[in-house]
Amino acid sequence: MKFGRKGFMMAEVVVVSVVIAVVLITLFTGLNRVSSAYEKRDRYYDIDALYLAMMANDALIENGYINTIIKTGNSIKINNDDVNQLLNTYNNDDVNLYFSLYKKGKIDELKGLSTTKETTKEFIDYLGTKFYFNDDYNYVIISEICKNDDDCYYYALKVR
Amino acid sequence: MLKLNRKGYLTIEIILASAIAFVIAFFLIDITMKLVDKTDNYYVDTVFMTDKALITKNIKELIENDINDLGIIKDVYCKSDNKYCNITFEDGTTNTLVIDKDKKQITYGGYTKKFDTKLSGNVGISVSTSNDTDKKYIVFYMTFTNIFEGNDYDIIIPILNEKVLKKYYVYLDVHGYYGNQQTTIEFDNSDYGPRYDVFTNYDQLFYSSDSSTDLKCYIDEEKTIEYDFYKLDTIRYQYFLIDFTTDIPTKLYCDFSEEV
Repeated sequence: MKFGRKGFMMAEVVVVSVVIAVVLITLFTGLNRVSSAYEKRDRYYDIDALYLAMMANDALIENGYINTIIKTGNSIKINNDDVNQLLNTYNNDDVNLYFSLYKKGKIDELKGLSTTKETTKEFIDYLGTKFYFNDDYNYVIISEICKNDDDCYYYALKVR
Repeated sequence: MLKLNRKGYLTIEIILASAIAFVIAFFLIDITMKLVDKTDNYYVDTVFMTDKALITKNIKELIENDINDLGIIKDVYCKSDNKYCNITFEDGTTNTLVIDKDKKQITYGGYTKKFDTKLSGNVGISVSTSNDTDKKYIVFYMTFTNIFEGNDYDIIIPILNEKVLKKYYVYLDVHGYYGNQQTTIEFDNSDYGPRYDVFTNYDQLFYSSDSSTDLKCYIDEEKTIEYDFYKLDTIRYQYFLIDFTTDIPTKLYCDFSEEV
């Protein structure tokens, strides 16, 4: 059987195209994964949200309200005069604070609050994959800074 | 029956192959440009994130130290066009927080931090204070724009406008007539400065609180480098005050010596 040379260029192009297409798809998938990781880093470990959570935690410790909410054990959106005074100072953005005991089920309870945004629920799901719950923390304060409903930044401050 | 000849086959082949090659090249170029664009953005984001952490921490610390030294902030005036904020403290001192767009840097007091040259689009600074008379909370907003992408970047610096008593911890290893005792003491920077009453924790080491007692402390365990206190009280029946200088060590090795 003799192979003719007709059609060889076409076959060559098709084979190379398939190889290049596979490489492109792999690159594209990898790029999406990297993009998603960067997005999470930017949104879920926000420095502004970290400092907000720290200052709110200090205010709650100073006025003793933290003891009350630890005792009741409920996962709540924090509503306290001193903390509200701090939140109202952030007048460029919509800011919120949440409290939960450092337990898996307790943090998930925050998703059930009527005021919890969809982006916040996604963050709480993300925390479920990152927190190990066998380390020695007592509670978590979650801070949220939103420029608009879809553009929110978070930090989860674990406290002993 | 019509019989196809093979003339023109190569031409068709070339046309089809070229078409496929051009389509592949187009997508390849497109994805490469997107990749370069995204990695460039990630670079700016990462550099900014590092700068933001440093700027927020350092400026917040400097302003809160100034509050402890100069009194609470009485007034803040920001001029966004000129990109600075004048901060006036209780004792009348005014310090300025400046974003210098030309030099690409942020300055407060002696602290200066450069930011990425790409972020010199629209830069601005503003301030927001809590509604109470003493302005318990003050928030500084700094905004930057990427001149290529048009993305906005923010730095938010929240300040607690209250004096905070700074706590010090010193490990004391004390030797007295009746033996040794090691304790970590904790004290504030009080109105008199950093001061501690040694008598309360160590009186059981004294032979007698009526006798004249000297205290000498050393920075090293071999007791060759003496620590000079700002002031050492003479022992009283109820208290023995030691005043530290601004240079507070973490460990001191001390001897009580008495006339027995």
